[in-house]
Amino acid sequence: MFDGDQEGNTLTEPTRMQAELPHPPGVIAEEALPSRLPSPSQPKTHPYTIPKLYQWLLVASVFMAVWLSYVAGYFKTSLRQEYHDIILVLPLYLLMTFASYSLALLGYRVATFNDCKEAAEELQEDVKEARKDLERKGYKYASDWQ
Amino acid sequence: MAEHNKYSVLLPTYEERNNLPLIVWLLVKHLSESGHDFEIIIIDDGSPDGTLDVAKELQRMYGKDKIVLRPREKKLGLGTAYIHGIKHATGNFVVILDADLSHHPKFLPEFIRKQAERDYDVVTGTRYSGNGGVFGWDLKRKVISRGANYLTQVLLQPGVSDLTGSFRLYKKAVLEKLINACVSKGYVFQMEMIIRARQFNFSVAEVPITFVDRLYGESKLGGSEVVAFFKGVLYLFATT
Repeated sequence: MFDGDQEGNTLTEPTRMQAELPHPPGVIAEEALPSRLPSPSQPKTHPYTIPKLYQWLLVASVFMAVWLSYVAGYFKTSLRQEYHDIILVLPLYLLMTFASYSLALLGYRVATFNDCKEAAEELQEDVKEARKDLERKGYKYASDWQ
Repeated sequence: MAEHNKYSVLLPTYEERNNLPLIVWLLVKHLSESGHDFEIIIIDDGSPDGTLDVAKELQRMYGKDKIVLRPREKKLGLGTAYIHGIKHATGNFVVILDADLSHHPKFLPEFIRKQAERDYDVVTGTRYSGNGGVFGWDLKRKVISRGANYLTQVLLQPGVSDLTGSFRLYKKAVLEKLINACVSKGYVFQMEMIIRARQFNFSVAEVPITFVDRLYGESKLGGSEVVAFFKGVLYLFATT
């Protein structure tokens, strides 16, 4: 789910209709924030979606609620001792797994980041060609390049 | 059935006297060769180096139908530059790219082909997948870029691999709608545009591109850019 290398990700046609509907009044969180676009006459209108922050908070708090009530002994289970021990450190364990995964992925992506040497060389050639052609067509500021 | 498509290329410039003739030449070359109807709209923000004179010269050479000048008095935001530019755009599609040659117009026919494939609302260039990539970045820059990209992927789950890229093709009406919905500036603006696109349920496709970091002139990634970027990510994380 964290992989960013999706190509040509598309959104489906039917859902587009919803975007056109006016959102219910009172849900424009934007208005409270200082707008930096110098066009105060134009209202900021976009469909309301649940911000990612709240989605994360929701998932995290549900998880922590279940975990805490287990640790605090609110419900009894017949899990074996080994499992119990793992569950006690589960949040930390998940965090560390995620961090390691992230670091490994980052390292891999930096290492495999395409160095487009040919693209730079090609551009140099294109620039030469462009200058020559522009000069031939009587470009007035060709002396800039001397 | 073949409806007539026209592509309006928006080129916001500031101090691009040397790059402007080259990018225009490349745009004309690749768009003419592939047989597309187009116009190039140059929005110069009062560059002291005379970028506007260069633009006028190019207009003389290529004609007023191909080169449209929409200069502004002084340096204003990118978002307003686009609004200003599309006000008189006659195309039904709008292309956005950097004028500093880091984006090569040779990819444009690929953008156009991709768009037509499934009538996408937005096609965005990606440095992070397929044959995409960068030139001229050291290890540190690569780590920052990859790290920032990973963070955005985890937090925002945008459905595209390159959020901060600014080489894009939009349907004109879609771009207008997105600009009106966006509040950020600079780097974050490009990111917000694509996140809002997801929010509006617009369809977005990607095309791998190469990014050649400024051949001429300074490349900019300072501490303040990084801070602004993180602020932007958190803002979008909390609001979208």
